Amino acid sequence: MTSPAVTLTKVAKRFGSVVALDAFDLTAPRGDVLGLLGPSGCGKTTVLRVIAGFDRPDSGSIEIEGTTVFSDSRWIPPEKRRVGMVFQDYALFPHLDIAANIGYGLSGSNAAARVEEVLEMVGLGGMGERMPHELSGGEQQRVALARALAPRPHLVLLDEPFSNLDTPIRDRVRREVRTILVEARATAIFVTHDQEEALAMSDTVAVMRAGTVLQTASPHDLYRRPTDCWVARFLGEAEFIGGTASRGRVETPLGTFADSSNASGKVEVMIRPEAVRLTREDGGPALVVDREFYGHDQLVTLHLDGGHRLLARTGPEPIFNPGDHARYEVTEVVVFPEGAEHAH
Amino acid sequence: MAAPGSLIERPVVRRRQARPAPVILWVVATLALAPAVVPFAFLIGRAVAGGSKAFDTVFSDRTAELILNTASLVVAVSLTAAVVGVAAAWVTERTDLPGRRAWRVIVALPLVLPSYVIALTVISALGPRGLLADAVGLGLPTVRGFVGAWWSLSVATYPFVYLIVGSALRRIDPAVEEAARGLGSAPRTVFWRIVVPQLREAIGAGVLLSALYSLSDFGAVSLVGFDSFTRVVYAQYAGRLDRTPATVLAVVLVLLAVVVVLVESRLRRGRPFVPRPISRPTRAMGLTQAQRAAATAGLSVLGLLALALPLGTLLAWVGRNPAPDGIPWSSLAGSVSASLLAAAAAVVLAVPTAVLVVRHGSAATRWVERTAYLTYSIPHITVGLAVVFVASRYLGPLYQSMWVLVGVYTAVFFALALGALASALSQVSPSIEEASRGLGRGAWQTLLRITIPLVWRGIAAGGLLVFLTTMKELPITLLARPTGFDTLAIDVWSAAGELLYSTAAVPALLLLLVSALPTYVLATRQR
Repeated sequence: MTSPAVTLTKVAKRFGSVVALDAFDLTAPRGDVLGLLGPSGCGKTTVLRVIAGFDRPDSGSIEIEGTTVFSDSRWIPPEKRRVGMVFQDYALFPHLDIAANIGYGLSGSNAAARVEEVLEMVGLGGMGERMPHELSGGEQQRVALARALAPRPHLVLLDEPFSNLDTPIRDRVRREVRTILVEARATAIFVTHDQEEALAMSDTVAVMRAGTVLQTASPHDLYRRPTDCWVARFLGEAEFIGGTASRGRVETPLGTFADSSNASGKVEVMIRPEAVRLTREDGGPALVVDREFYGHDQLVTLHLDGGHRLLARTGPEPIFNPGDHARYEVTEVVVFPEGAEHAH
Repeated sequence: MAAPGSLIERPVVRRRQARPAPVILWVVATLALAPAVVPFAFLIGRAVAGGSKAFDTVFSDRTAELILNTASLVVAVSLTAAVVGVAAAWVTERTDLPGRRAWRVIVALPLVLPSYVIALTVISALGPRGLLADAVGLGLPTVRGFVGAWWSLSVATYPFVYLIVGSALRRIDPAVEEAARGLGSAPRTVFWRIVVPQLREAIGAGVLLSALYSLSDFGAVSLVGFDSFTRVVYAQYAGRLDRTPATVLAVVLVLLAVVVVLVESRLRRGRPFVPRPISRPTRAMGLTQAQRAAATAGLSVLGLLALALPLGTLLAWVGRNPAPDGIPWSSLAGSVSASLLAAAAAVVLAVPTAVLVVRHGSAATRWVERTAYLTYSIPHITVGLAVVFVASRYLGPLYQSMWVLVGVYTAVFFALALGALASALSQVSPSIEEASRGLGRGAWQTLLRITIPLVWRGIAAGGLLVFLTTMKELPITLLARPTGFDTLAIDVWSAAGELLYSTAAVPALLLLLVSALPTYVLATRQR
């Protein structure tokens, strides 16, 4: 692993009586796209703002590319930090055309060439003379990104970058932005409350809650091995049942499963819907009570004997309807020591 | 063209915790307001120090009579302005009346007429020996005293109600009315239960302006000879060596202004609501033939009395006796130069102050805004008196200098510039400025390259408002001007006071001419 592009150490920030960040630690590896995921109000935008220098932390320290930009004795103003920010509302300068927007942070003789280069990179070549309001939301988004990338910053920060886009173009823009960031070899931190977006965009995801990081991991590890029930729930649909673990096995009312957590005693057992295999069977042990059909798959809510509820995600065929009976098979579980959720 | 703080709309911006403001911004805000606030504080101190003499003045029969006079004038003018303004706004905004675009302009135009110009035309055109009586050879009843003051001030202030209610009517979402219809309400019920409650704020704001204007007006009441507070304050000041009675009455006048504000906010009490963005333009109500005729007749009478009569009278006087004393060039130069200086100073000081109140908003900065609007609402005769009082004692050589006069103008009309700039600035997302900082530009460069270009319209609007208002200003100029310094307003007032109507008509027309262009620019840009 290379040296980190940015490191936050024990950063604290309060707004009046509200604690936004509490002994907050974060490290973003150089060249990575880091997703900061958390519910609204968890402090994730504040993280970006203290890195960029728009808000001043109460304590702690921040280092960008080996330079301390904030500590008890040091404050580097935002214009000297070489951090590019893509704002949620894009914040394009409405009185300047696209080229002037992108060239705003540049100086010197090759500014014009760099503007052209960046415009090409975001796929807006030849649009330099348009005004911001003449562009679609997706194009404005790319201009904002181009403007942030133009001065070759140490770091690009993106604040809920896709929240202002309609669903149909959202996925496409997301892929484009990811490609641009990777091509520019930029270190990027982006903030989102959408778990799907965080998992799809990031090399690393940091899950935040109430001003602290709960877990930092690759998207795959995060989804498969969440650190506690809260993170597990936040990342996607799941059902929990009680169980008893011992020596690599966990016993539950739904059966006995393999357990890699080495827990023992009372535990919480999580079952993801995609770990449930479902076959239609008249008189089967599971009763279908609800079904949401998504086209590429369907999410089926089941009632089991003994009053348990289970969610299953299956392909679009065959269709399950409320009232149908089915047989189910749980292929994998994740085990949490009891009380893990209450730690936070 | 007044627009105090309560009327300035600001979009609600999700604001993060404001950063503490640089000290320089506080210094600027203080400098801007001090020339009016400090003398006013001294004046109150002096009135209080007046002791038993002050007590005698306040609790005399004469003061009671003055309060009664002034209160009846304020109530009569406010009611008239409310009725005329709301009716005209409804007819021109919500019906299919033919020519309503032209009517909108005609009905709003009297806004540019200063009260003393209206009073001048009213007393010189009507009455037993006025122009009209001359022309038709009939004796007309006198319009001096209460009637003249009521007439002049109603014409001067109904446009406030008209403009504010008109713009509120345009902002009412028709979908809300349709929802009410869909829930089974008849059109009349919808009007009283849905539309009028949504107009309450606007009517209140317009009437408040009208009431404050008539309370503090000096020009019209002094020309028609009606003993309201301002006229008597001036008479006491001009006619007596002992200034305590004038000072005490001036302070009582301010208390009356406070009462007006309190009464209005009490009447308006209720839960405020934020108007919804409208989804589509409102639908015009179809008028019957008879209603159409009645509406056109009403607007015609209004246009005749409020616009044609004043303008016609001025032109008639000039026609009768073209420029008896020549064109008052020096007064024109005085008006324009003092107003330009005040506008420039107000705008230069308002930019940093707007940054203070919008970008670093806190309980303390809200006091800056409040102080600016209160300073603007203090009757100007009181401010003038306070300034004379302080400058003559403590400022030595600066007493009766242009510096003092322009400083006081700037402070008193600062709220206009601040309002325009704060409203423009609050429409600029703070993230735009942050984006500039993030791209390597410091605070100064960001101000010059991003913020000022984006609030340019606010700067222009604020500057024009201050310019126009200063051009029309009378009582402060009268009291605090340098010896030998004349303005068009002073010329109109003193000539009209000596019944030299032809002489008064020339500066009055000049005043309107000079105001016409900035007013046009403001009116067309605001839409």
